[in-house]
Amino acid sequence: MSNLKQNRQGAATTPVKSARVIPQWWQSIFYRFFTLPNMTGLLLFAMACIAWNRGLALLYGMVATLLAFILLSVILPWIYLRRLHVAFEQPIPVHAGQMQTIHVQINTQKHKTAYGIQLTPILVSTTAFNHTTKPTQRLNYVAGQARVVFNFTPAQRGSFNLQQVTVACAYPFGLITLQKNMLAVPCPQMVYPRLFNIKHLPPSWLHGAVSLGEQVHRNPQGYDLFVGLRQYRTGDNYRHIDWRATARSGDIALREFEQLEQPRISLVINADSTLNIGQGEINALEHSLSLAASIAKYCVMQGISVNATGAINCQINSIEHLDDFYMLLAQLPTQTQHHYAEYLSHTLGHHNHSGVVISFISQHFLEVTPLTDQHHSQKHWQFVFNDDSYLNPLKTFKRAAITHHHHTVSIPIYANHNIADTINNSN
Amino acid sequence: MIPLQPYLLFSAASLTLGFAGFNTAYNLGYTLIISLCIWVGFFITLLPALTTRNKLAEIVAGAGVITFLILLFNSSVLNALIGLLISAQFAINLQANNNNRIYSALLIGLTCLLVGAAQAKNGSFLIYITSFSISSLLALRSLYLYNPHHVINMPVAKNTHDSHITSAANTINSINTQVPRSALHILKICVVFLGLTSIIYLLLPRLPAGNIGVSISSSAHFYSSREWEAQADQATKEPGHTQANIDNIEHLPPQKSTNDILQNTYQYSGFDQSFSINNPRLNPSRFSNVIIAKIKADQPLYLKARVFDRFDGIRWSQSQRQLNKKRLSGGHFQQGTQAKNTIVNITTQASHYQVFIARDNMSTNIPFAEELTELHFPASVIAQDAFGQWFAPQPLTKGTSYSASAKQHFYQGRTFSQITHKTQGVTAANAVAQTLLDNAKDERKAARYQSLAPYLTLPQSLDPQIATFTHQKLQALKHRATDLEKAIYLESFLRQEYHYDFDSIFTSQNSTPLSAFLFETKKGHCEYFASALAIMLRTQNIPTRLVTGWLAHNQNPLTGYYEVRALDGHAWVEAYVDDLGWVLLEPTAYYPMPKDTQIKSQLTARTIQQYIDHLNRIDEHSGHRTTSIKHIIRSTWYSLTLIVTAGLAVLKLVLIDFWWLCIILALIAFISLGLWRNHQGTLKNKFLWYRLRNKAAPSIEQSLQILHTALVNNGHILAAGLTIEQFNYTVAKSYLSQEEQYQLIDLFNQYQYNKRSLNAQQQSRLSHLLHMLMLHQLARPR
Repeated sequence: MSNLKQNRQGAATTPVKSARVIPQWWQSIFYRFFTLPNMTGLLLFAMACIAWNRGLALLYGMVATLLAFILLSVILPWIYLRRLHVAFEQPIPVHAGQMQTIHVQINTQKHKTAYGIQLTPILVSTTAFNHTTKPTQRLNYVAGQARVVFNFTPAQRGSFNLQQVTVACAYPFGLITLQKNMLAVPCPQMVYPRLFNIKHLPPSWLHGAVSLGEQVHRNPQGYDLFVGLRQYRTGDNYRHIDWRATARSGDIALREFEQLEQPRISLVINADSTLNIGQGEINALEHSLSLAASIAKYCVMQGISVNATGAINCQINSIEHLDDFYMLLAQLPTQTQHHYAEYLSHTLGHHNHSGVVISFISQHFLEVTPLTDQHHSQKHWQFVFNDDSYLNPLKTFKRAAITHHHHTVSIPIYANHNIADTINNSN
Repeated sequence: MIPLQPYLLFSAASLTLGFAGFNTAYNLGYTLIISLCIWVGFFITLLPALTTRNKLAEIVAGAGVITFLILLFNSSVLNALIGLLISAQFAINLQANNNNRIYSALLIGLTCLLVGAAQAKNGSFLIYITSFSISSLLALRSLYLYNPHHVINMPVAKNTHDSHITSAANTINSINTQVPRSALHILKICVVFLGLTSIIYLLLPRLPAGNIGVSISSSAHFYSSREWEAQADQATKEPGHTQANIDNIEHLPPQKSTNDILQNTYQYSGFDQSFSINNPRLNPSRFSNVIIAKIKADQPLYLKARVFDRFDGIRWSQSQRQLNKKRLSGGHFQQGTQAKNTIVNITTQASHYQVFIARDNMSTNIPFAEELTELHFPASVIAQDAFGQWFAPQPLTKGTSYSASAKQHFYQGRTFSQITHKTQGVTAANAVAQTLLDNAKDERKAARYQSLAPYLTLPQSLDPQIATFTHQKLQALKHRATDLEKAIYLESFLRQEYHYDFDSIFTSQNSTPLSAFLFETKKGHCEYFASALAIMLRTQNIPTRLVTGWLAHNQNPLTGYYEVRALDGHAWVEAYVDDLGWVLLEPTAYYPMPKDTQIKSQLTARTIQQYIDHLNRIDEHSGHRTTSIKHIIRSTWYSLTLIVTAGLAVLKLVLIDFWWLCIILALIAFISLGLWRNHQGTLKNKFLWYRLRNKAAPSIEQSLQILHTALVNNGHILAAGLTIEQFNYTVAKSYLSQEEQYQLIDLFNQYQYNKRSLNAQQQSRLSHLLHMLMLHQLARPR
């Protein structure tokens, strides 16, 4: 009989609690204890007692059969696990929130076979990934070599080392699972900061910024000055490869150019511990880095050169430089020494070529550095992260307005608000 | 459409085999039909659509309860419970939607098989166990491989789309790589599994049985006799008037009809009221080794059926013929409590055994082991003769089973069937009282010995040489020997100097056999040996009696039951020695000595060997062919157990006597293993280098092969399809200069891919480069 109540339309609604149904708590206790290994052990004990009490050889034979089952469940997985080797293939860096593919190569010794192998890569950063969605793959059969693909979405930026894989096997009965942490050659895994979908920079924020009052669209690939050769990096344009230099050195060499007189903004990256407020991905520092990465990407796509300063120093003149910037952001640790005010003052004072200086600061450590008249051609966007909202992410906060003071735009950022909308929806 | 996934097929097979094993005692056709119904029912209950399952489950559950009740009243409780379990499985098939139904099917099949194993008395039950094990193995394997939810899950809520509980298995993504359906691999697993089972079974020690709550007594019909019941009741009402209860032993129901000289009836005249040692078997044919009874006990037993005290030179008979009837309460008889044994150095051991009669038209004797304390027998009344032997109202039929408890006494390593209960160690307050006590003790002793007078009578026609011969033999005992020592000495003498001969059963012809046996032929059957010993001891004034019964000493290693065959109808001697009691003497060399059989656990392998030895001896003496298939299987099994037993014996010797050597060897092995694991690559490369040194320069192909081996030994994992450029980058770069690296890549690519072959100089150069790399790898420690 269905336990569901039905409304007048006949659709199923909430289930009716029946007195005949076994309580959920009892079921959870029952199934927590009565796992297959526990039940097998209990069965073995019961059969051994019966065989001892009756003293009959056939009963001892059945005990021997069950013991053989258990022994085989231990021996075969042990043999198969000993045969295995694992290796990681370097994954392509992705941004947090994007699907990343990790390839694990599993080899068996001397092309022998292994059955029922379960692989779970151990991801070092425990705060970055959700435990309940541990990626696990099962291979029914491995002979020689197999490649296993894991797709998962990292939630947080960082530079990690893929080194360990948990390999488990419970062949052939699923009675006993033997597990082993296998070490592979360390393989770097890069997760860039999350990107926000910035569609445009608010004109009101740009008003007054030299060379950025109108968004100048230059060739995003714009390059004017040859600045030198560097080693090829993944993602570089093959058209820039200098073949002669490559032939000479044996390593692929790339020509690098710098765009002259390109509109420029400055990002003053803040990695102070004062900004490190919040847990996991809902963290002011993470949001600030994501914001910096997103703004950099938007600007570069619009042909605007970006100068990153503060905790890192980097020139982003083209798309090719973006990966370097992301990598630096991904590897940026929290700094205990508070030098951000100095960085900001220095940037505001010396980077006259920048139309906009963007800073990221915690509300409690707000130090407004008003731009004086000598900086009239420069705008200062200050993203102010509301500490309370990051400390209490479930709490609702009334959004404060964006304020304009002289050439400084103060943009409040809250933990549970959509940061991209804050920028995109501003006029 | 019937789901034909492998694990469903095999789990259905397991359930069916389990039930078939349980039902093995019944008619084969009946078992097959029911098994087929269970198989079909298993699949039918998997079919119905989700919406109708719940209703059907209730119907099936109700049918199960009705089946249970019907079987409960028409059959046994066990059958009813099994029927209920099978119905429950069908209900689970309908209710559950996950692996739980498979596990429950296997568990129920196992339960049925377990019950069948407890009831089975035939070694062929092993076929059911083996078949069930294989089908369960295959079911669990296919379930693990092909069903990703291979863990026990909580059941999904019925008729809802949302699961309240999600199991961890749901997050596992299964790459359904097609497992090659390798019959060879499956066969390997089955063989390994069966091998493991056999080894464990052989090595499993058999502990003494607990026998808690195990008292079996049943039969096809309940044994009763109104006449006996009336006599027993009268004896109870009028204890002083014993005449009504005493019945001449000749009035026992006939042992067998004259028409019962059939192959399938047991005929041993040693169980009659009297028998001649000349031809104790009426059946003139070569006698068979058919199993007439099976006994479940912890140790070999002597089961007494008759006791004889009178011998006329040829025939043994009984001097007293009373038959006392005793009522059984619910088929249970409890021996009265006896005075506690006060004899020093006597150990008493309780034993519990069950007897299952396997042939029809047995005698009315109820064989039992001394000293009986408790008997469970399916009768309302039984009778006891003057010698303490028990009789049923009718001849025992096939299927009768009874259980009993006994106390076994051991003194100086010998089995005593009865101990004389007397008070000892009582001291009086003064000398006068002590004298009175001593006199009373002497009087009691004298009275005992007077009562034993019938056990000292000798036949008038006895050859006087026997007494002389006995006396001469006992001269070898230099010291003043006790009666027990004399008895043991003569027993050993007969066992060593005389031979067992089956043929003497049929060839002796009314002549005085004992003299011929003792002085001429020196060979005979058990009755000769027993009679000889009894008479020899009587000539030395030691009371003796001849006992016939069954010797259960041959344990079937597969079933654990002691098998009593027609051959095992046996005669032995009991002698009253030193006022201690009746000691059991086994003068027949063919049979094992009744030593202090303290219950010892022994390996199954040893039990199997002894069983096969016994069967081979029977075959040899009874003239059966030794080249039959049965014999070949038996020989193979014997060889296997011999290997195991011999191996274990050597292992035991080494472990006990050379334990210090074992520890040293274990340490050396442990250290060696560690060193090998850490340095095996280096050692292998060194060995390779040693081999290369004394040989001519290898070719390019050989160099590549050696290089590859050396790299693997040094722990490099070379991926398939590695290009020379990648190899150069990961390995060669460290050992070659830039120019050499270029040369290596260029020459190798030309060698491998170019149609034009290399000239001699180029080949030499490539070989040289590879050789350099080889040297680096071989000489480099890992």
